[in-house]
Amino acid sequence: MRLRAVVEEVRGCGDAALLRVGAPEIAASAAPGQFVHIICGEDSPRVLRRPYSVFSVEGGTLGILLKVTGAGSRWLACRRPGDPLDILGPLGRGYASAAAGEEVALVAGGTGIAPLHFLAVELRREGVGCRLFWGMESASDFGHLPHRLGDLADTRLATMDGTLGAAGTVLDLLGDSGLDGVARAYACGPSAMLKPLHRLCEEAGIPLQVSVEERMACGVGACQGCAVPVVDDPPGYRMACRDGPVFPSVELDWERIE
Amino acid sequence: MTLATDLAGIRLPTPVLAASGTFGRGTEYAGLTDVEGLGGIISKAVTLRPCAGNPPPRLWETPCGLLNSVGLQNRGVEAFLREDLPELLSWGVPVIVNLAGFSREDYLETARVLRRAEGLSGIELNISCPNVKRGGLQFGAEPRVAAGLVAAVREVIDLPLLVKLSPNVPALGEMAAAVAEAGADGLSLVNTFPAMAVDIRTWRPRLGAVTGGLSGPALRPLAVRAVWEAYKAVDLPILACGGVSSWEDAVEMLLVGARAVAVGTALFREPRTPLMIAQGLKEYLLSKGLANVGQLVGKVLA
Ligand SMILES: Cc1cc2nc3c(=O)[nH]c(=O)nc-3n(C[C@H](O)[C@H](O)[C@H](O)COP(=O)(O)OP(=O)(O)OC[C@H]3O[C@@H](n4cnc5c(N)ncnc54)[C@H](O)[C@@H]3O)c2cc1C
Ligand SMILES: Cc1cc2nc3c(=O)[nH]c(=O)nc-3n(C[C@H](O)[C@H](O)[C@H](O)COP(=O)(O)O)c2cc1C
Ligand code: FES
Repeated sequence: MRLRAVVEEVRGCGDAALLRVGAPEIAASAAPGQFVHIICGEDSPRVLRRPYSVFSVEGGTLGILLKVTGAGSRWLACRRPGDPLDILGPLGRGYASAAAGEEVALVAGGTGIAPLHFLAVELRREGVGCRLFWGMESASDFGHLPHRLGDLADTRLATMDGTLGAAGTVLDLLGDSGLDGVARAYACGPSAMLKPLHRLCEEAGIPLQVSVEERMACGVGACQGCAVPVVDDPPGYRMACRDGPVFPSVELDWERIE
Repeated sequence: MTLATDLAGIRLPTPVLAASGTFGRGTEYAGLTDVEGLGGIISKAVTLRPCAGNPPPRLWETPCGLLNSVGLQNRGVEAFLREDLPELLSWGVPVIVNLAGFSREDYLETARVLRRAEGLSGIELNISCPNVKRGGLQFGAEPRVAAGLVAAVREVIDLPLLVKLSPNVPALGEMAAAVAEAGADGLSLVNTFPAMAVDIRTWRPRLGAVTGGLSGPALRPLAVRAVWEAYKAVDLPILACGGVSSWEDAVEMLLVGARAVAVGTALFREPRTPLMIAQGLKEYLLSKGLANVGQLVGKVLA
């Protein structure tokens, strides 16, 4: 679906920004783990849209949590209420849900919180118990956001510099017992986090679904640019934008993922 | 006034096509654009056997451009005929197959299989892919070698045969002449330009395949010049491709000798680009009192 959406609000969120966008049709059908593809600057030198996970859906409003990492995200973060936004979405396949009464783990690295936040909201509504592990660089990364997740999930935080929660990575935070009693796990973050998490879950026999980040052009499965290595015979690729961005971690060929 | 035009014996409803490797089967864009309104669809490269393509990352954006190293990822010609072609044909617009190979025998065998296909409008012979180590460009670098392959494919295939060239050919006029002589019905200009980018933090190439091909507006002036060189050298219809993103870009291509244009990279940002270009061309022809795009072809005052 393609929309001329309208920016409703842009709020600083620590070093990140939370963008609220009026996009009723997309909001109505978006599922946790899906993403939107946004033009960041008409007449700009940027030929590609930028992919962003859906952070939240409230009525007809989409929430997008973004970190400024370059010119496109900077442009987005500088929008003002009332500004138009050209959005495609919702795109891709999201997370498969859990059964009511189950206890699940959500493991986020940095902005990887975005799809997991949306997922936590949905899972809670469905009566699934969520344990959220979120690792970031520093307390300043996301402002108050980490403190507001308590209602959604049993939240545990880690920062690399020790300014919030435990000092270390989110994997340190999980430790030996973090996944005890967990029926399934969901993750989003850098592959340096996903790789060891995959091994951990495999050893513990816990099914894990991961959302991967790959560079994208079309966003709809037409250009084969966003290839993710999968275990297959012969070894091949799936497309992050269409077959993912969420994959069961056992389907991915972690040996070939950097 | 009509937008319909003829390209090497292919009747095109409009002179604006979707470029090879950028439009999938069309299905992917359903709901985002009216696929039925295209002048035609050129398929992703098809090879004899399935081909996994290159390791990621396969994309890197540059100012006004895009590097890709997708390679020839496809499921082979048999799967193409079985699964992709029916979907491509379902849109009711001309379908041209981009034919690629790793050896001369590959190309010919694939061409023989394609002969069985019903409903195909033409072949775009890809001898200009910068993303494979063997084949591809190796056939498109030297006029003599290119001509040999074109003549051999010509023997096998009756369909209109376009030959897709690289912008990175030293004497493009000679190349065009050799290919024309060998029996091509038209030229397709241009494929991506060989390119590279490096991450200076890690000192590693941005693309998994190290090098890739540049497309998008950054490529356009190179493509304009290539079309012009070829137009001067041979009397073959030319399909122009390379950074075309607006009707103004399309008019420029027509003026230097193109009969039609193909749109690739611009689709990623705006899937309706080809329809917008067709609409713009229509208004341009009306405003100039012209009956068809043919009246613009090669009319640059140079
Ligand atoms: C499915 C998906 C969901 C995402 N969700 C979020 C999110 O919720 N919040 C958030 O802050 N970021 C998210 N990202 C990353 C976000 O897309 C990039 O940060 C953004 O594209 C950077 O654009 P830029 O112009 O600022 O950066 P530049 O580095 O200048 O961008 C250059 C090119 O690289 C691409 N690129 C750069 N970084 C990434 C990346 N990490 N992943 C994929 N492509 C990249 C850009 O899209 C662009 O094509 C997501 C990425 C994907 C693939
Ligand atoms: C992701 C991608 C995949 C491509 N795949 C092919 C291909 O399989 N065969 C081919 O001949 N050209 C391929 N091309 C080249 C395009 O068809 C076109 O010639 C080139 O991109 C220049 O046009 P543009 O600037 O409008 O994209 C590809 C281009 C891109 C960006
Ligand atoms: S971005 Fe084009 S196939 Fe995924």
